[in-house]
Amino acid sequence: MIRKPTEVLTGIEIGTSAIKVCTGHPLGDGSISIIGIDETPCVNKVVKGEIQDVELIRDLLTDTLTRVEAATGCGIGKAYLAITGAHIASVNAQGEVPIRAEDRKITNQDIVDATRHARGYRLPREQISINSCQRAYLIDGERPMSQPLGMVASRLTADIHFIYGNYNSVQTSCNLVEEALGVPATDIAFAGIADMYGLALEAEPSNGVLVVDIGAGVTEYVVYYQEGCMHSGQVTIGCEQLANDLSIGLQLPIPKARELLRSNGSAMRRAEGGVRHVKVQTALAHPPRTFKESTIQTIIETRLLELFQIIRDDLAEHRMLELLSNGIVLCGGGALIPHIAELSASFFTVPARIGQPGNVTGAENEIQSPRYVTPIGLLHLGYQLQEMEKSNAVPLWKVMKHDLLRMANVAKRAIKF
Amino acid sequence: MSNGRTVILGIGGGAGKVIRCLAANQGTSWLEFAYIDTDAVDLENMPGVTCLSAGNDWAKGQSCGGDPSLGEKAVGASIRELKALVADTEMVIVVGCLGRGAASGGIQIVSRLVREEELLAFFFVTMPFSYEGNGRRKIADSALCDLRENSDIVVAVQNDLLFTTIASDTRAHEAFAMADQVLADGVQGIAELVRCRGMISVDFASLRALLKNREAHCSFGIGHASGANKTVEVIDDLFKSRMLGGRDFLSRSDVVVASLIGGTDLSIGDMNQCLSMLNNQLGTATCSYIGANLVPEKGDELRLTIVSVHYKHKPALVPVSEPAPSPTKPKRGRKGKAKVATDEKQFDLPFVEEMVSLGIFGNVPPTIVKGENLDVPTFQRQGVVLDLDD
Repeated sequence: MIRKPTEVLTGIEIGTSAIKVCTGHPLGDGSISIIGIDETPCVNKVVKGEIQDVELIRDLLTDTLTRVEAATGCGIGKAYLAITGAHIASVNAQGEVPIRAEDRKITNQDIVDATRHARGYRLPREQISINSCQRAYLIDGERPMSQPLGMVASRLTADIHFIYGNYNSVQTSCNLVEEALGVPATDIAFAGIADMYGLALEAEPSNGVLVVDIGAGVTEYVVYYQEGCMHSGQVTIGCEQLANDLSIGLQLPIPKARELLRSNGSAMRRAEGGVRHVKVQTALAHPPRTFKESTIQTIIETRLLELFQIIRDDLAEHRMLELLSNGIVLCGGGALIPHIAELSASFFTVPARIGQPGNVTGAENEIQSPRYVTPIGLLHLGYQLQEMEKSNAVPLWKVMKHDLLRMANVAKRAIKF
Repeated sequence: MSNGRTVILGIGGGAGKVIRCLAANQGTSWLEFAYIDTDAVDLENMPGVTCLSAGNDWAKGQSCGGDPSLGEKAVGASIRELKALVADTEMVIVVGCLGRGAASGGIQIVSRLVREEELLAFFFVTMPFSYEGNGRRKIADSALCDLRENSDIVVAVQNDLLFTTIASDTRAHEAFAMADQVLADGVQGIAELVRCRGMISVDFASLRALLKNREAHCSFGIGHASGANKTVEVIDDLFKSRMLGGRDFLSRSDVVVASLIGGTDLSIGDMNQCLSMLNNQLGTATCSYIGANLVPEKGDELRLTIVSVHYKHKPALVPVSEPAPSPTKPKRGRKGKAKVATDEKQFDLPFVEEMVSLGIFGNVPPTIVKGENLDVPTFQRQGVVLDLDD
């Protein structure tokens, strides 16, 4: 069956290791049927999430999109783009209104006003908002509340989490997609937010989950709490750093180090690593070199522990550590490193698991990998945005809570600027 | 435990008093002491210490009068004796009170000597009290700066820290005697810390990795205790240490190297309790390296030595573009003028290039978190030694 192009959603992730494109068709019950998925390696052309060679990446993206189109037999439809990189930062902004009604009950208008005030936050120069999420409402400046409508209070404070990035960097990615597609991307999202949707966390009790997406160049993390994003961040450390460490430590060429990371990587030092050896053929004329597995594991473990330490320091600074009772979900290519869940569980002392794309059907063998969480998350996000736009009858609080409409507007502004 | 010779070498008047205390201390029979100075008066009355009179032929037993260039010249004249003294030693601990002539100048000669002889050396220097004025402070800063060029481990302790714990009504001569004793204990503690190859090891390499190429000020503390309640008492005793700077100062330190030494009857429970109590005192930003050793002759005694490191700057370890100065560059003639220590100087070191490699991230914007360039492999920054034997 050939579907109409409008029914098709496409998620595009221009990552450090590969350009991933995923097309799907929403089935109406919240799940997405994946109809096409493809990726093109782009090593060295994207470094730490930032595009280094626009022309080449545009050509690679065009090729990938063409292949997906040819394979699925339907168009690209609405495209959603994941944004990441060193330029992404986040900030929490508060907006406050006094409750003026005689009975001092909070009305919809109060909520809108408080949110508007919070949104009035001036981002630093040359920065543009990518996503914004409602963290909580504070009643009288102290009691947090997810649904304040009808509560009696004297003041209402809206607390919003802004994720923003450098205007020029965001615009470069958007222009590139527009040139490859012919039309601008319908929306953009921070890769961590896309992961949150891709893992279908709504299905789980929302006692707080830390989503860590370890990509090739950038690691994004998001604290998902009570159906929303409470905190987010990125560190420009990823699998490329692991490969680079191996390359320097073992004096191997970088392609060999990448191969070694894929074939013999382990996030934790294992007891048997001291006696097991790995042979690596460095050059044709040379005899193969032998390394102890424990050496490889030491290099990987020290780097990953440092990465987790940076994340934990940031979470501790924002008082997020106590919100992680549901543990950690790891995704991205880095989640494929054996034993990484054990390492993160022991480091953060909460349960950890490897996340797979949730709520999807079709091509299951291919897509059930943590690597595809971001592009599939974009499809879920796109679908929810579409639904929001379609139904005007959604209660106001729900719109505020998910905050998707505004996210869409902000994103559109980003593209139309 | 290693069996090689360890020599503690004092340079200049201040160090002489420390060496004298140290030689009189209990449990120092495994150490050898040496002392070099130009001032003949200071060289007298040093039982158990090999004394070298520096530049005897022209200094005529007079002091350097606070001139580091004279100190450098005088100690330089005795280089042959020094060489003989440190030959075949496993480790040399050099003690100097910077700010005056013999120590500030002479220590440079010793630092070059140990580098040429490829010896493990540990420099334990004190910086002058604030009231001694800017002149001495500048001489000390300049000497410390030069010293760091040639040596990997420099533990620089601020004399001012003493005032944080000594009551203001203490008699002056008692306070100074106390200071000498505290420094002597510190040197002994550090010697033991490095000497033992422990169950949980904190060794020379870890100290070197922490202090190499870094401008840091250190403080140290030692706690002793014995008896039933020793694990708690040792921590209390530690915080009474004069040169530690108090609980607050410790919790704000960037790195803490701690070593617990006990007798063979030390139980795992005691060890665990003691080390976790110490850990609780440290701030969240403090990186701790904790070691534990067994020394049979300690018996029931428990001894906790800690070195707390405060980095002056959080340096980004990036390669330097300018050619680094050669370590054997002649420095004479320049020492006479007090030179203000510059921040850049610290990173302009001869061995930075070999330590730092960025691989594929050489030409991309660096990832800097808390002043550290994360593109440099973590194992290199943390000083992890890789087992590369095939």
